Amino acid sequence: ITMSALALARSRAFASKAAQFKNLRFYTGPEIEFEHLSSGWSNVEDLEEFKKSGRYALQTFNKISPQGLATYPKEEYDVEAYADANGRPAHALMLRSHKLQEEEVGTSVRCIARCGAGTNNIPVPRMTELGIPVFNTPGANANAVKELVLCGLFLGSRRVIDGINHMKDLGEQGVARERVEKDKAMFGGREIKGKTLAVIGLGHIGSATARDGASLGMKTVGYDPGLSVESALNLPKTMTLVDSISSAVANADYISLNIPYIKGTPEEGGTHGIIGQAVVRHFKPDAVILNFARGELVDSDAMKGFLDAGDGRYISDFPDDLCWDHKNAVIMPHLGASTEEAEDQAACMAAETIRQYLQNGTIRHSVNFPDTDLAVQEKDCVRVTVVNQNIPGMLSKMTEVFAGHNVNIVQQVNHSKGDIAYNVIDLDPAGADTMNLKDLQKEVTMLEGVLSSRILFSAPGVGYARNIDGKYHV
Amino acid sequence: MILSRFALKSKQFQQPVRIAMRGLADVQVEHGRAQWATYGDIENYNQGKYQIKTFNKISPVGLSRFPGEEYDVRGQEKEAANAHAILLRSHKLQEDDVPQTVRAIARCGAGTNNIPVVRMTELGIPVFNTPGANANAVKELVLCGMLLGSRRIVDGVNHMKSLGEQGIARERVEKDKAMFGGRELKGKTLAVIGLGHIGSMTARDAESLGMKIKGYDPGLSIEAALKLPNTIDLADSISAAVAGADYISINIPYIKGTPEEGGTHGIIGKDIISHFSPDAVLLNFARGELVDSEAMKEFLESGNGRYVSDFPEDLLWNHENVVILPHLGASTEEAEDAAASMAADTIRDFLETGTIVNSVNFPNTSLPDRPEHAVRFTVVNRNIPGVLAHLTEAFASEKLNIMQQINQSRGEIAYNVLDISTEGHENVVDFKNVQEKITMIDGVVSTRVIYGTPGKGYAKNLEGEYFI
Repeated sequence: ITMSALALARSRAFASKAAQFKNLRFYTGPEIEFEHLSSGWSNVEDLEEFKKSGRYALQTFNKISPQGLATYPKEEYDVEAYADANGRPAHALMLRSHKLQEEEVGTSVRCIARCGAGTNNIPVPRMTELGIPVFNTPGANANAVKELVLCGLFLGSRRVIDGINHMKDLGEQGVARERVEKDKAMFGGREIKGKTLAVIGLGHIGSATARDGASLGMKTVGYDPGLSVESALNLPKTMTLVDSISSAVANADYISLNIPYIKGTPEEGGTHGIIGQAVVRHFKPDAVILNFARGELVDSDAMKGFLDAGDGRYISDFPDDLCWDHKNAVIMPHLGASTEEAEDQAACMAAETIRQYLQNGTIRHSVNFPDTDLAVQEKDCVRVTVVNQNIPGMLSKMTEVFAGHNVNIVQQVNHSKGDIAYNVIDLDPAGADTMNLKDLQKEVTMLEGVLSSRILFSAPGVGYARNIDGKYHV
Repeated sequence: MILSRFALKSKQFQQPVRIAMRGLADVQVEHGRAQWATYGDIENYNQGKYQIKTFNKISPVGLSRFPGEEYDVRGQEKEAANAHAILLRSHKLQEDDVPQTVRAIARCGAGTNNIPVVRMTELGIPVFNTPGANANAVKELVLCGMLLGSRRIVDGVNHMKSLGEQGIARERVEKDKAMFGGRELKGKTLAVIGLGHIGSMTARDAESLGMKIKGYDPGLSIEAALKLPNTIDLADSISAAVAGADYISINIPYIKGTPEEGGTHGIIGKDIISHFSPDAVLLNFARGELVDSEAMKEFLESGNGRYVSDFPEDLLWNHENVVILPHLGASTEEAEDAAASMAADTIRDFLETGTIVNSVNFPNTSLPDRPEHAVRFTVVNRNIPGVLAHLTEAFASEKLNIMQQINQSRGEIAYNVLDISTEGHENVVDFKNVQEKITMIDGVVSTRVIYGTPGKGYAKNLEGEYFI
């Protein structure tokens, strides 16, 4: 199916509109001939309907912030909930904490974006096998989590929650005024000013927490083996950096955990139960532990032992089966990112990531694909992207195919990460009136080891081809 | 019988002294002429020491500021019928609690509503407080309150407990959390009403958390202004400050009487509340009575606003958009230590040098160190004309030289500190007559002779009778 004159005109209309938007790839080169919907798509119900729309189909799980969804230009994106789509094919998926099943990821999906930091709810290795990048939104929630950690610092310093509940009891008995001055002694405590705060993990959230702790008069100590320059610039000047978690917590009055959850014990290279007996025994007996990162970072048995033995506190927004009703534990619902601002920011960041990928082939904030950003050429180049397994010889085989079709590569970039590799190649139409990329696309895509390819020339929803178990889907 | 035993003991007092005495001649003052009606347990009276009586549990760190060789500190378990000063927290002080020997009362805290200050002024007793000692403690609770008013944290914690009891916390938490979300402080506007110690610190910290700050304080001092963030927008009325604010913190003192009467009772009433944003969060860690409960109730019912306070609220205590804490603003070890230390230092200064600072009823008064060979007199009098002249005349007639003096007044009371030279006098300098003369001047309430012997030298003019 070749592009009709109408489609070309529409493409040119897109191009002029596109010029108004930043980062939008537009194409004013020769007509491109490519294959579309000729085979393989098993879940396309109304082919005609789909061909006409010429828009990217974005489907969402969970309630995504309307502000974030509004960033998709209506002329190029159809946004709807997956539940409302009734099987219509999607080009990209956006979700929050929905547990994504493989069946929900149709063959037409090019990418998945999670509004949030952790991607435990997405089968990432399987998506990598299928050549589908998964994006997250690192830092979008940072201020929201940080403010909750600050609240946790105060809630762990005076028995605020117990006091509030006590006031309710007194109110019910009608004796609040008479008893408050006498009873308040049960709920007093200490101030954070002048105390020592240890921050384990100095990424977006950890560094912001440390900075605010310092501006509230706390001494700060930090541990992060992978401290980035960007984060280091964010740290308070007076912060002491140490070389182990145990050193960091040894003299700390308050300890905040801000590291990611990685499956596996520390010995296996993971972070499951990393705050276990070995670390806990270094805690001061009245230390306040703040866990707004992941429940499973903390070994509940070790924490319970610690709380029973002294006057320490455990404040967390993750459930804890063992400590949930301990008098010295405060367990909140998972509210770390539950603010309008974080939801808006995460959705906007995820939307931007998706748009950059769909329209420019740019990859940023992916948890499984390598960061890739090839600058858009001034010339009217055709951009082709190829996803392949990271095995030897792929690059030379691909360039051979392009050479074989007499197509000139103007610029290209190739990155790999783990088992996957990603290529962005800009082709020079060299003044031709039309470019037939059907065969080129098929040949490249069917190379052993290639998973998918895309031709980007600003016609939304077309140009995606996949190599699924030796079968060509386009 | 008691009389004679006391008279006998009084001879023992005539010994040369200790405190800050440098080569002073033997000073004689009257003592214990037996009019003090409350001797209490005279056997346990520690001679030569100031007796401090405490009410409530005062921080040991603060009490340790009283050197043991000169101060005998007694809590409520021990009788202190001859107390020279009283230290208390929130105990409601009755006049009966104040023996006639008491020279000063210090409250570890800011408000003095629990002390009959007006009556103490009549009796010539300065009442001290500890402004600023609690400031950081209150400020941290205000910050906590702002965060508690931004997401439904308390409701969420309680919800997790009930899910825990049903054993379904893990399954339900992700779904249920949507009920407890909210917003962030960053980028929002905080209006601070009252920019003293607590208000200015709150403003500064909120700004470092990314908030825009508006403020109102008609009596903004330079000291407080130096603490404020440069970017603060000062309004010229409470209404102007709160208009457009997402968070509002009240940090003004409670003064009896409606605003029309010059007080601050119910100052946050219908008029001011009408300027609130419908989802504003009001933080009251100053005094419950500053807020008009009825007006607040209407505000909460008509929008999505919040009220967070550490004072009881008869009308709103169980409203779904209200969070009431116990009065924990100053309930930290650090604040208790700081307040007790400040109160102890204030009392020591007053007893040992006659200096007055941080008093709620007496004027700030400070005279440089007593020179060698000088005896310090302090005189408390009603603020009426002519007393000062009689005072100086009395010394002149006894041929006593005034080396330096200061006189300050505040409202109905006046206070004088005079350093009298003992040079040129023989070995024994007798102040008995002059003290009686001065104390009985019409308008004088009490006098003290400070020459380094704790517990001696205090005389009172009680309705025309000389008490010493």
